[in-house]
Amino acid sequence: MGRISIAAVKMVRTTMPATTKTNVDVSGFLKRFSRSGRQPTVEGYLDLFEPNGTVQHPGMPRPLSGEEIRNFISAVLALMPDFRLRPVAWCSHGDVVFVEAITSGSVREAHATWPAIYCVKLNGDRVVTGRSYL
Amino acid sequence: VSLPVAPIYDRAEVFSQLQGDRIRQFEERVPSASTGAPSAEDRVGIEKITEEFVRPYIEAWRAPEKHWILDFYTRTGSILMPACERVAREGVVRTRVEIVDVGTLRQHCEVYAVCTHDVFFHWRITGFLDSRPFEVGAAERVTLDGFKIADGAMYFDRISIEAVRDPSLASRTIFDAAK
Repeated sequence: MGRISIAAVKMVRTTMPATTKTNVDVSGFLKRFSRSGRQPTVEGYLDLFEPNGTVQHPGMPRPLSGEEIRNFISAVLALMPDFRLRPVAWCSHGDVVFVEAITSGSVREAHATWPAIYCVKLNGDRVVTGRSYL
Repeated sequence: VSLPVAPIYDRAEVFSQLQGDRIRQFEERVPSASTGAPSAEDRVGIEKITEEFVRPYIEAWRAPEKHWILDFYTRTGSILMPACERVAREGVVRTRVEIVDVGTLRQHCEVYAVCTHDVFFHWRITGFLDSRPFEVGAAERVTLDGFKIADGAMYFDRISIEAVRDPSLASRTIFDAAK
């Protein structure tokens, strides 16, 4: 088996037998998430979420929701206009998806690249709860 | 407390685990990700990993002991963690446990997902720091060789833990949505 074939086998979509069947579109979410990371915009980011969706990033004592999410991503993109996120691995279990990603951006003259894992719970292809770890 | 700010997010070595085929396979995989369930062969493999590795690993981290955790790694297995150099299997428990008061670290698995070679965990870590309780979330990705960990990376917000000891750190790192 060649190297690419092995790689393809590694990234199977996972559905555990014990998981309750849910209305989840992992593929749809991954496409939207990748697009949002490639060309980040405030509206594109907000469009990842359910209307009542929440997100909690490192340093946040509680999850953000609604207008707070808009304020957050607006602040991030204003501070770091070249912010980019590139998913490199994912795995799902029921309505939960893990995505490991390479993220990067510059603050003034300083450019940084850092890895992260996003753990999100989906409804359809939209985020109900999102949590990231750097 | 002087916080070693620079090393906390020095995760450069993780990239060596993420580069190469992974990016291509992600890009190739996403467009067809919804086409069908895992094959029967994949499903059997995933169930075996769950039984042989995932469940015992989760159980072992409830109250971690070095000799037990050690056994989940290959002989050369290691993992990357915030603020640390690559940690060999002998140091995994010590490196996590020494962050907090002796004997108080607990890891509870919130959810996990299994691929044929990788397993992702979402953890809730609890413990005491200077006798003060804390609770933080963490994510871990391990890459398996058989049913043992060959490589991996742990992600958690170490500043949140340090802020239990020195609350002034929190005000410098927490995003305040109200401002």
